[in-house]
Amino acid sequence: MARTLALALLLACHRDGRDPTDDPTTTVLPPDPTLCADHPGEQLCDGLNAMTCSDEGVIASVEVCDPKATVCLAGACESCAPEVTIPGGASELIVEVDAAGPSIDRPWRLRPVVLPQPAIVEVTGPVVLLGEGGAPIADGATVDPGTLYVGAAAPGEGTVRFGPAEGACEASPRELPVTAIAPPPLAVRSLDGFPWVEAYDVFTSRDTVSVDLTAFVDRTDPQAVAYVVPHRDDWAAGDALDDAVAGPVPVSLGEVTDVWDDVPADVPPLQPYDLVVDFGDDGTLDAGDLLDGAEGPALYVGGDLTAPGPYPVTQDELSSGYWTTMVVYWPDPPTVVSGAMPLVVISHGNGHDYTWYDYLGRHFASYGFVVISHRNDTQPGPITASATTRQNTDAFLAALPQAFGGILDGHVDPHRIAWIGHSRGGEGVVIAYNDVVTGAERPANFTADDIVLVSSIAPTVFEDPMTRVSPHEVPYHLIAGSRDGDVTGGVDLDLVQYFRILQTATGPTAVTYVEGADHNDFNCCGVNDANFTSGPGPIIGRERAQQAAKSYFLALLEATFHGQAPMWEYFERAPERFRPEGVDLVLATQLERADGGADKIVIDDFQSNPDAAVSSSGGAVTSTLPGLAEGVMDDRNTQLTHDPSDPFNGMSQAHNDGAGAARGLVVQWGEGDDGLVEFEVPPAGRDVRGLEALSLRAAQSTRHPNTVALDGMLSFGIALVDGAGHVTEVDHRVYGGIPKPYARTGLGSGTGWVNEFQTIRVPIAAFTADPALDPSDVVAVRLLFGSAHGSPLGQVGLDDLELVAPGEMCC
Amino acid sequence: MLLTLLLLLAPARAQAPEIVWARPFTLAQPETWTMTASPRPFTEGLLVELRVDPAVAELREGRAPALFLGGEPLFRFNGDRVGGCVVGFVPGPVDLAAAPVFVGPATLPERLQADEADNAARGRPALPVGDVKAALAAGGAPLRAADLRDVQREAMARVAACSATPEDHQRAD
Repeated sequence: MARTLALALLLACHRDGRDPTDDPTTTVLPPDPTLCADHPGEQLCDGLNAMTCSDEGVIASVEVCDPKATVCLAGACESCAPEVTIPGGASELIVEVDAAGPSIDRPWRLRPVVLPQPAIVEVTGPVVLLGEGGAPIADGATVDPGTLYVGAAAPGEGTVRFGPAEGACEASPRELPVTAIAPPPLAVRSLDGFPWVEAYDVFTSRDTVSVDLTAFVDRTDPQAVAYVVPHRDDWAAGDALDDAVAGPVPVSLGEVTDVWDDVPADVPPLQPYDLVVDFGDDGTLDAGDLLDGAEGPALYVGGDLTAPGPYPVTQDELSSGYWTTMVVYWPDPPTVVSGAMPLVVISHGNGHDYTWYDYLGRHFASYGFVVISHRNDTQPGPITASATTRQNTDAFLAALPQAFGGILDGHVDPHRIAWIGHSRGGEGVVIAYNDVVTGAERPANFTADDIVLVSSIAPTVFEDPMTRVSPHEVPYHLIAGSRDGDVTGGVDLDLVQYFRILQTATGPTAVTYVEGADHNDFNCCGVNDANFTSGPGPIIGRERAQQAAKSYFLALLEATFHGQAPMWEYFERAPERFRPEGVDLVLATQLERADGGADKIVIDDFQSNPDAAVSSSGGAVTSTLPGLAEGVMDDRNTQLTHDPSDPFNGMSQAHNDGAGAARGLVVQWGEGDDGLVEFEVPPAGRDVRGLEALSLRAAQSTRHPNTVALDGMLSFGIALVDGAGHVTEVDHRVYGGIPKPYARTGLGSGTGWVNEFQTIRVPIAAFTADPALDPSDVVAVRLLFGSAHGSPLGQVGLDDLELVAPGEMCC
Repeated sequence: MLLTLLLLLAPARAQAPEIVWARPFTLAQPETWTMTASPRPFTEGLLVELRVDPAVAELREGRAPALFLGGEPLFRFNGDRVGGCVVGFVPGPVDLAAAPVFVGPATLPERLQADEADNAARGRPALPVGDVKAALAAGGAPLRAADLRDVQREAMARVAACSATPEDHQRAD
């Protein structure tokens, strides 16, 4: 009876109604009726027979598997197409592109798959398949069971197909979808709002390092952990992660997880680290793990930029005449630094002394610079001072074979020179560069090309910035304090409005504006000129001001001369959120790429097309706000008192500077006046894929009633609009706001000093985090003002709205 | 009491510059006089120590009235904003008995034309003869200097002795 039933079931279970015994190539034998005797209640295979055994140990049912589509596996007919197992993964793969070509030597760019049976493999798209030993597998090859590795050499979509390799199986190949992506940064910092994370390189003790796995939604391994480890240039498969400074920390798949919340402060600058996500938690780097660090460190710990560098320093005086007298600082012995060292020249201001800058000279020398601080002939004026800068540079280079027994001969690079000047000396170094680059002066031992950087500390502006005090194309840095009692920056005198110099620069520029620092805080010994000022703003004093100066100058020099590009972050990121260790001050920083280069697309710099409805790039500018003014950034009078008829009150970017004077836009909005200003993007900037950031400069208007009422950091919304009208908005406050003007009195009624422009830089990645935005067709940049977008009210000056491409700042 | 009150209420008057010390010098190596729109070499000069209104004594960055000795702005080695001691020099042979010391125009010296300086000096009273004699007597014999560095050393010795301003002593050290 049982036998009759089984045979009946056997015939009934033919899925397509065909009897497999009809196939002349396949012979299906009847199942062995005794097999169930030892397996009561189980499911068994006997050839193509899939059997169910009764509890009594007899065949309860039999299914004959179709050999063209199935095989019997564990007592059931299953597809005969090869099975594939993805360790720690789901039914599809996301792999990171290995631009050098997938290799078993870089297993972190590969995903392993386990093949339990022979298969014929084919790949499509950018996918590359490697065998167990790492050898590439040719398309259409038959591979044996084992572990295979999936990689890709370019981004895109593709597949791996595993077809049956033998027998009569005619099942469709098993298809594994593969998405190849450019390796995203894993080490990120969380933000308080959209886009929720940022991926800058440098972290300080104020930050928590997080790992971002949102791009890897295919991962399912619950055993994944993250490590932060010292950077290695020679990562290899099987490397242990036992030197981790953080981790193992269990990570949330597809999410952002905090990994390192005690980033050290007291370490040398820019300590490099890598980040590893170890799937399977075996404590080693294997195929299928994620590594951020193979192409350079995943992150840097910013470290203490005020601490002395690694080299011991010697200083000594060198003099070949009254006006060629200087203090020289160098790493001792100079051979501790490989290669010739850049030369930094410091030119003091009027009433100052060349011996007053040890804090900079020794600091720079300890990081591998040769520094001279020379006597500067400032009393006649900045043109005479400029001559002294040139003469001392020339004299020092000429003296190298003999000076100090020739110890520095061959250790100073005459083609990498920085000029730093203070006050009249700060104007002097710019004039000196101008006179050399224009050919008016021809020094014997260097040329304009050898001056790689010029920096001014609170410079005077006696001469005309449109003609003589111009940095031209040389990278230019400006540092000044809001409590300066001498070169005040105020709007009452043209010669103290130093931002005018910045405006004439056509090369890369950077600014460090230090709230509460006075003029002589930047040397050791000048009079406390903050005593000549008034107002409730904090006076930070010399020690804190010099910590800021040491930090920002070191960042500038290291970025310019030693290739430490991450140091630019100290200028491009808003200091409210990101500052050097130990600099707990209110600062405004700026960083601008060179004019006219291919690495930025200017949307509106307001220098041409004075019609507020047309941008300098020729696009339309529309606004729903009534208080919009475009014009020269020049305070109309010598007072800072609020004047409703002067939207540029407190602006010191220009002063009687003629046709080329710096221009900008002023936007005002009151409580409940939410509105926008929209700039059409020129055709060259509409595809933002591959661009790095949207950048603009903004400052709060001093003593304006809205500024007074806001009384704090200001922000607004910045949005990209695509051709379909989709708007993706970011409140730039998540990166840092625009500081309120420093609380200083004088120059009329009210409190607040001059404009403090801050560069606002929103990464393009912030906008493309919105998948609804079409980044290939961005038609407008929209600035949105009001409580729905940031500060409920305010008045801001705006300038230099640009799209920035990746690339080095300079040098 | 009333007199004291009247004195307190009286408008403050700038202190007239006084000379307390003067020493001629010569230079073995010519230097360039740069406190003028027309720089020129010089090999001799007069080093002086003055007492002036402290408000005038300080060296600042911006535009400020210059101290003149005769038809030249004084090149200053210090700026005693506390006590008003100023040590500086002018080039050339100087007839101190005929040279007024005064606070002149705020023109940057490197922009100063010779006629502007002369005009500024014209008509101003010379220093009291007694003061001049005493200053020269205090200064003693002319200094034979190799170059301005020697003059500066002499000057800083004066500064160290006379100045009440801390940063002057930083310079002198």
